[in-house]
Order: sequence, then C-alpha cells, then structure tokens
Amino acid sequence: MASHTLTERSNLSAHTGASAGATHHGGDAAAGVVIAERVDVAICSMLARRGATDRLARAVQSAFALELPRTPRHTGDGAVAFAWAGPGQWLALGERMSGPAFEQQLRAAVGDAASIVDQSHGRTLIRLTGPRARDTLAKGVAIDLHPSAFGPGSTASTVIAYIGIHFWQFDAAPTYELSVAGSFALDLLDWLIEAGAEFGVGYRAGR
Amino acid sequence: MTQSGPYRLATGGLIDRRVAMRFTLDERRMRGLAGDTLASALLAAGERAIGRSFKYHRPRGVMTAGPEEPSALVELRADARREPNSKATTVELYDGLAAATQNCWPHVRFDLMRLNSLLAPFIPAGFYYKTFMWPASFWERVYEPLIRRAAGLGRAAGAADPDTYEHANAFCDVLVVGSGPAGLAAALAAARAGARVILCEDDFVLGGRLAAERHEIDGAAGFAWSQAAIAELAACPEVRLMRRTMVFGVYDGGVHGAIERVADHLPATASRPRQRHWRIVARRTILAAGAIERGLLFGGNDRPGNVMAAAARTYANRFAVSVGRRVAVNTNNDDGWRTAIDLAAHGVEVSALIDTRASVPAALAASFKGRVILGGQVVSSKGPGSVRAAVVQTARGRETIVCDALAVSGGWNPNVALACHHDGRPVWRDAIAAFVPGALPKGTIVAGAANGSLTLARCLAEGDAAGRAAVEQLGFRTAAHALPKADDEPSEVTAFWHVGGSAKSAFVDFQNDVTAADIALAAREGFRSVEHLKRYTTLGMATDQGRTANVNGLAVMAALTGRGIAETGTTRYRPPYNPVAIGALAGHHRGKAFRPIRRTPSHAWAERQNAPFVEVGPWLRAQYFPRAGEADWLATVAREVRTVRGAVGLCDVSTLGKIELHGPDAAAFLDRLYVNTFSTLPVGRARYGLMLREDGFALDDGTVSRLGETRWFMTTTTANAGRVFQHMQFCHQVLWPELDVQVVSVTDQWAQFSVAGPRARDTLRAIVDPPFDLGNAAFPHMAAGECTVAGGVPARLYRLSFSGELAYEIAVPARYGSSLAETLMRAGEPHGIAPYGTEALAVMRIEKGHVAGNELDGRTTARDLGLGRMVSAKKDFIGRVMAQRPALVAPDRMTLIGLKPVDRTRRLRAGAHLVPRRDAADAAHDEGVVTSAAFSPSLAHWIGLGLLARGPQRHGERVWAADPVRDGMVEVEVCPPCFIDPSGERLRG
Repeated sequence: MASHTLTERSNLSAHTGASAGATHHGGDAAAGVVIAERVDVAICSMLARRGATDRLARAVQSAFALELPRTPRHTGDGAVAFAWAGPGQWLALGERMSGPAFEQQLRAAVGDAASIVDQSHGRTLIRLTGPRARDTLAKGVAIDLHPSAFGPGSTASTVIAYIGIHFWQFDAAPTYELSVAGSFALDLLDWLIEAGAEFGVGYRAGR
Repeated sequence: MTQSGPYRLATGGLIDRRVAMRFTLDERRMRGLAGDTLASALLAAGERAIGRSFKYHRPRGVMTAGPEEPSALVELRADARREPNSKATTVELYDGLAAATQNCWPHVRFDLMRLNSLLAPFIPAGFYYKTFMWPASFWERVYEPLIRRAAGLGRAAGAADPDTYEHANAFCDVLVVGSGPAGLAAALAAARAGARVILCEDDFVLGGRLAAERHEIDGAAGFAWSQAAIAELAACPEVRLMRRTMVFGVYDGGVHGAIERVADHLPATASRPRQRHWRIVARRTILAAGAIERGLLFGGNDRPGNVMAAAARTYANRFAVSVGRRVAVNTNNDDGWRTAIDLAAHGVEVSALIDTRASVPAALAASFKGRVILGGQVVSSKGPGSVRAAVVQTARGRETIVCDALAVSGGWNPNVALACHHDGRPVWRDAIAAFVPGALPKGTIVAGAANGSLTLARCLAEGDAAGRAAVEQLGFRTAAHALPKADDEPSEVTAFWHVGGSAKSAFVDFQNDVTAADIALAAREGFRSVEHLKRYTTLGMATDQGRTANVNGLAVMAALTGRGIAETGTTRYRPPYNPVAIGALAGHHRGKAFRPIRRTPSHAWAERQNAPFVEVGPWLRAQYFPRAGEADWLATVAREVRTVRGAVGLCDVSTLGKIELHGPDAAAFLDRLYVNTFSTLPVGRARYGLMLREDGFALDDGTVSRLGETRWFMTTTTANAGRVFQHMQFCHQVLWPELDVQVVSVTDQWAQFSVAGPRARDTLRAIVDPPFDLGNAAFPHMAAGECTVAGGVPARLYRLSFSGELAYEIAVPARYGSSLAETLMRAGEPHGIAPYGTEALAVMRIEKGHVAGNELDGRTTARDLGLGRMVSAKKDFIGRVMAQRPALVAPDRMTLIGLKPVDRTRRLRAGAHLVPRRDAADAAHDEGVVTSAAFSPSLAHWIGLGLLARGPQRHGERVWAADPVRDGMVEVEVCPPCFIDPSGERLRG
C-alpha cells in the first residue's frame, strides 16, 4: 500500500544562508542586493516544431495575449511569461502553478506547434533585486548591463563563474531573474552571496 | 606636528599632517603621515638603504616615486599575508603597516651576501650558463638550489592566501588610462559629450604629474585644476573614476585587463576583496599613461641617495619630503632644471646643477640662481654607504661636489607599453631622444607625454583632442569649450647616456644588477639582437620590466655596435604591464570553488549517511556508505554488493545525461544516431543503444525509452553527457535540419534512483500508486512507463539493470529526490535495503561484463566492446562508413574479455598489460590491457575486464597480467566477460 508521502525540497535547501547573514544584519531594506529563490513558478521548455514558429506565435497570442519574442527578450503579463532561449526555443514561465498543470495548459494552447517539456524542478529560479543588484551581477556576467544596452525585458544565455545561466531583467529596480540548472544552483548561490557581500546581502530561501 | 621625520619639509605637500600613520620597518617603529607612500615615509625618516640587489647584494635605496621603481623592494605584512618584492614607492601607507627589508642577512646595512659583490668581476652576465654546465644532472640538484639561495629577492608567504579576490566586468564608450593633464582633458571632453567614460588611475591620488609639479593652469595651481576636473567628472552619472586601478593589458576587441587594489591600503580587508580583476570593454581607448624618467650611467649610480630628478621633485612637492640636505642635480635636459628650481624653492640646498650640455638657452640659464656646471658630467658617486659626494668631470678637470643626494635625469621615455600590446613596435624620435608609440591597437588614441608630448600645454591640448576624436568617432556631438591655459615649459633634451672613466660599475638595470660592462660583454660575445641581449644579461626581466633601464641598455648596445637606437629596436611588449597577483587572476575560483560542482538531489542525504564523494565529470557522487565496524572501504563495498545481490539496494543515478526527444521524426533521428534501430521499439519499452563518432569509434552508450509515439527519453553516461548533447545538437542543426525533432536536456529535472536486487519489486510496491502493475508480465525487463508515486507525485519507471539483478530506475521531479531516497529507505527496510555508491555499482557492472568509461576510451569499436552484433546492416548511421576501415575491422584487434587470476588469492589491477606466458613481459609482446578490475564478493576473488588481441578466441588461455611498478606478474585466465548469471535469469525474475 502506498502509505508514504514525498516532500518537496529546494536545491538550495542545503544552503543555510549563514554566510549571507554574516555580512548583513539590517534586513532587506538595508541590503544592497536581495537574493531570493522562487519555487512557485512553473517552468517549461517550449520548442517550436519544424517550420511552425509563426503558428506557435499566433497560438501564444490567442491563448495568452502575449507576443512571443523572436529576439533575446522576455515578455510577460504577471501570470505567464516567455523568455527567448535560442532560435525556436523559449522558456515559458507560469506564476504560482505546478509544472504538470502548466505543461498541460501550454500543450492545450499550442497544440502541435511546439513540444513542451516541464523543467520546473530542473531549473532553479533566483531573483536578484536591490540598488546594487546590477553591480553584483556585473562581477560575473561579461555582458553590458547598462540600461541603454540591457534593460527590462532583455534576456541572455551566458555563464557566471563557469555555470551556464539564462537570465533576464524583470524590472527597472533593477530586478533580475536567473534560471540555472538545479545541480549547479548551490554553487551559483555561493558565488552570488560572495559577490554581493560588500554591498550587504539579504537572502531568502525558497522552501 | 611634523614628527614624521627629519627630512619632512615644514610646509606643503598633499599629506595630512594631523593624521599620523604608525608603521614598522624590520620591527622598528616608525611614523608617517596620511597621504604618504611607504617610500616617502622612509625618506622622510632619513632611511637610505632599503633593500639589497638581486645578484650582488648591493645596498639600494628609493630611486623613483612610482611603479617603475627598480630598487626599493620590501616585504609587506606577515605570515600568510607576507608579500615580497613590493615597491615601496607604490605602497600606500596605512596605520599598522609592517614592512621588512628583504634579500639581506643578517641586516640590510651589513649583509654577508655582499660577498657576491666582491666576486662580481667573476660573475658577469651569462656566468651561470657558462659555469654550471657540467655535469648536466648537477644543475637541478646542486647548482640551482645554491644559486637560488644566494640570488633572488623576497620570500613568498608559503601559506594559503587568507584574502579573497574577485572578477568584475565593465563597459564604456571611452576608457582613459591615466589621470594626468592629458587623461583628465580627454575624460572631460568625452564626458561633456555624454559618453560613458571610465578613467583608470594606478595611483591613489588622481591628477598624475599635476600632483607632483608646481605648474599653473588657468593661472592657478595645476593640482587645483585637476581637482576641479575630477569633481566635474565625478558629477557625471556616466563617468566611473577608478583610483588604485592599474590597466595591465590590452586584448582583442577593446578588452582591457585591470587590477583594482580594493583593500591593499587598509589594515584589514573585512568583507571586501583584497583586489578586483576588471575586464573593461571599451569602444575607444585613450592611453594617457605619461612618461617615465630614465637615469644616466656613471660609476656608482646605484648607491643609495641616487634618485631620479623628477622623483626628487615629486617627494618635495607632493609629499613634502626632501631627498637630502644637499642635493646635486645631474641632467642632460631642461626638465632636470625644474628639480633644482623646485628644491631651491622648498629651501633645500642645491649644491650644484650639472648639465651635460655645454650651453643652454639664456632663459633657462636665468631660471636657476644656484651654482650651474655646464658641460659637466658626473663620473661617479662617492660613499662610503650612501651618496656623500659626486665626482664631476668638467672642462677644467675633475671636481668633487659634496652632496648627500644625487638627482639624475637622462630624459623621459613615453610610457608606450600598453600601446604595444598588439605587437606594435615603438618608433624612435630623435627630437626627444626616446621611443614613441608606433602602430596602435584598434580604437586606441595616445595622448600627452605617452605620445612624446612632454609639455603641459601640449598634454592638455592633445588630451582634449583625443577625447573629442574618440566620442566623435562613436557618433557623439561635442560642443566647443575653452582649453585650459598653460605654458609650454622648456623641454629640450640632448641625448646623453654613458659616462666612462670610472672604475666603479655603472648600473643599467638596478633590479637585475645588469651593468654597462655586462652589455659590452654581450656585444663582444655576439648577443647583439635586443632579444638576445635581454635573455643573455637579463636586462629588463625583473619585476619592474626595465622601465628605467631598457632604453639606456639599448643606447649602450647601439653605441657599441655602431647602429642607431632606432635600428637596434626594442624587445616585444606583453601583458601584464606590472606584476599581477595570481590570486587576482584566479578570483573566486580557488579551493573548492576551483570549478563549479554539480550535486545530485540526494547529496545532502548521502552526506548524512557519511558517504565519501568522488568526482565524476563535474558531479560529486556518493562513493560508498560505510557502517560502523567495517574494516575498510573494500569491506563496505563487498557488503553493499551482497545486499544488492541478496536483498535490495538503492543508488542515485541522477547524474546520467537525460535527454528528451519529441516530434514525428525523433525515431528517424535516433536511428541515424545509434548503431542499432529504435524506430521499431514499441511504446512502453526501452532498449540499450551504442553510438559512434563519425570516425567509427564508440562515442557513448545508454538506454532509449519510448514514452509515446513521438516522445522519447534517452540517457547518456555521466561523463559524456555534455558531449553527446552537443553532438546531437550538431546533427540536428547542421546535418539533418529537415528532421522535425525537438531535443531538450532534462538531466536536472529528474531525480533518478536505481532500486536493484531480488526485493526491488517488493520495495517499489510500497510507494508506486495503484493501479500501476509492477508484475513481471505487465512490466517486464526493459519496460518503461509513467506512473505516480506516494499519492500522486508524477514519476517515470524503467525496468533497467546495470547490476544484473531484478532492477528498476525510478525518477521523480528533482525537488522530490531527497525525500524519495528517504522514503525508499523506509519502504525497503523490511526487505533489508541499503544504499550503495559508485564503487559497488562498478563492481557489479564488472561482474556482469558491462562496458563503461574504462572501455569506452575513444579507441574502441563496437566489435572491440563485444557489441558487434548490435550494429545494424540495414540502415545508415553516424560512423558506419568509417567503422569499415581495414584497421577497425582487423581480426587481431584487442577485444573485450574477462580475466580471473589463476591463483585466486592474487589481486588484479587495472592498467596491467597482458602478455603471452611464453614471452618476455615487455612492450614488444604487449597484447592487451586490463581495463577494469574489482574484488567480486559474489565469487570471493578478484576479477577483471580487459582488451586482448583476438580475445574471444582465447577463452581458457592463460596469460600474464604484467604490472611491473605495482604487483609484478599475475597469471590470469582469459574467460567470457560475464561472471554472474550469464543467461540473465535474475534480471528477468
């Protein structure tokens, strides 16, 4: 009989955040950069079927009233978002949804115009905000983050400290969101906390 | 308040006389002022000999006021933070700094190694190469250690650096290197146009020479103008002023390397990094790095008390320190006169101004009121110890001039290094007797003294023009603004290098102890090319890179060979401009952060079970799970194997590369990728597959499961996951773009565990939700399907066996992974479950004869691996044609076999070579190799897998496993590569 239950634990749960606490005592308001894991976001890979990108864009438009980006952009409405991930590839993000449910919703929306694969547990989503978020990120990202070059809605696939990341600027605060392979998430968090230490780091674990 | 030393001037200087900085030199307590460098504080205290030279252990003192310093090298700090060879002229004094003299024993003023100096006539350039040649083996064991003890500079800390370093990136329209008049004018012009500007200054004070001179700009002090300019720049939101930042290299695409000394000037680094390594990407670069004064060559020109003339001026003007009580100035140019004028203005006695030129313009002659000797040459300095007099040759004969410091100017060398990092060679300009930049890196403009424009007015004008040009090239509009006004001060120079006539050595390179005589020796022995000269004499190879030495050395060589200096040329310039700490280059990536680590979903759980971890590619995997009372890891592994073979075991296999393929052409894609056929695989089934490289050798193996008509899931080996995914992307994007297939990695999405052993099914029954049927008929060996576990968590189940037992791989979304491990342990408890690691995994696959990384080594074919029958003859696939090459199908190729020691108590080791018993165990008779070996708990003896020529035909034959460096010769029996359940009944049970 199936009398057992499974508990969900974040890839970052092993991180105590102690090193962050050591550098910063003033609460998030006093921190130069606040790092938070987001576990309530469903993430799916969306890959256009051969020659179906236009059809896919129409499907996305009609189902979500969002324009599917064809360049390195992130577009969303607070509930659903799409981040360009390469030619014919996107990360689809669903706020406060489970992976399987979002996968089903997307499949229903796009039909055979794209293949949908749930990555909600495979990608760890880290949000970075605060007055020194840009300076923190600039220590690892070899991309010009100046507002004139990379503003809200910009996205890029690159590396931080030899760890592949897909990230986008969420708002002008500035807030950034970093999507990283879950197995690397702990090392990326270590790096972020070290990079932000001089500005004061606030860290909020997911679950 | 001037308790900071007897040589501190009463007024002036950019120092704060209210803030004392206590420091120690060789544990002597000393005192400087805020704004001092270590060198200025030491000079203020009257310290003359600060270090000993590299080869001859001659006493040396402060010679310059900047990063070109060849002599005043000290050790800073203590213990793990000890930092040798620090230039006292660039060390920003802080309260509590501990410095030590170096390269002397027992004391800087009485150094026993000074003996080397007496031997100097016998150890000229190239001495080591000539003398310590024979016997060759002595070099490493005897000569080099001896030489290293006698020569050399400071001592490395020898302990791990406790400080942290980091990297950072910056981007700008215009990078300005140098904050002197040219750099500031350039930055202002660019910033006023609205460009993004980064201004880097190596010093901790912005202003360059304006901080060290008494020039006027717009009728006020030049330094005041610089501070106003800096204030204007600081107010621009798009301008970043970076003090204490040295640009050390110019790379392709406008990329520059720079080191910011974030906390070198602070007693403790607190939560800051010690230094920051910047990668600055600039669309345009303005090099305004100034010029470096060079000396003159005369006997005893290295004696403490010899200083560069401009440095003497810097110490007086910027630090309010006099380099002596009675200073003689020796120059071949107009600029040297400024030193005499400035020192006199500060009330310092100038005993004589000696100009090598027989006549100077009347205006210049009138500018200095003290004693002037025209057409005079300092032949040598006199001691004992530091300078006490200068011997001057005049038209009337020799005269001894009493002085305690000798300020020397041999002219100015534009600082061309960064301009030459793209292999540009500097060009000789006779008018200033110096090299100026030649071909520049793309997008680079040189301005001011670095460009050979040695007067203030020209620096300001050139800087402004460079700033305007840079931003105009980028499409910015510039508005007219008035140029700051300054006069063109006199700056004439007559080339003059070497004064003969002294028995004492005239030093060219002070840090490496290269004399004019050494250069003459090199010329005599044929080392006349500058590159040979450099390597033979070590001219310019010290930590100062010969900034003050090289041009003098070239001039001497040019004179000796009768060639001009232009023809003699310079050596090649390479980054870094000044030494860079290895720690700064490594940044975050040291110790455990050397490279990023991938952790499995059960990592923390395995840690709690005391498992040691092993690196597999980027992953850390649990190696085994020790229990109390187990003698060693072999005992633990044997117990884990017996548990799997007798009950049930649990192993995290999430590290396998996991890839999903979707789309109507996925089956066709897989058929082309693997040697065997997948399009015939029914939904709900899995199949083992092997893929080849284009050249016909095996690339990787794994399993492919068909989850739906157009939905597939495949695994790769842990080590090859990245490479296989890349290979698939290449095949899809380049070779077969016509196929409608979508490939996506899901390695991190799924936590996957192997549950293996006769009680595996019983264990899984407790967690797999009904109505999923785990029975052998419904879910047989090589079945694959989707289910839910523990009340609704989506899961995937594969009946795959690497161990040869009844086994499943179960996958759940990764964040459930650690919980699944705990749950499976509880569910399996009644069945005797135990976790097992990579060691037991390896033992069991060897027992079953499954190939792994040891055999898939890039040199084996499908047939070599015993997988020849898998290769389809009915379809095309990658590697098919090249696998047919004669050498790859030769019948005597080494092929997979099993091995057992004839004496069952003997140990087998991977790496041993297989030779026939009748032959000598040497390379000529090598017929194969033991690829994998393990102690088989099931058979109670060691077993192995190997590759042996004509292997399958030799089952039953006995050969030697020769391992001369470890166990010697072990007689082994060749057998089929499967030791357990060859018919596979257990895995189908």
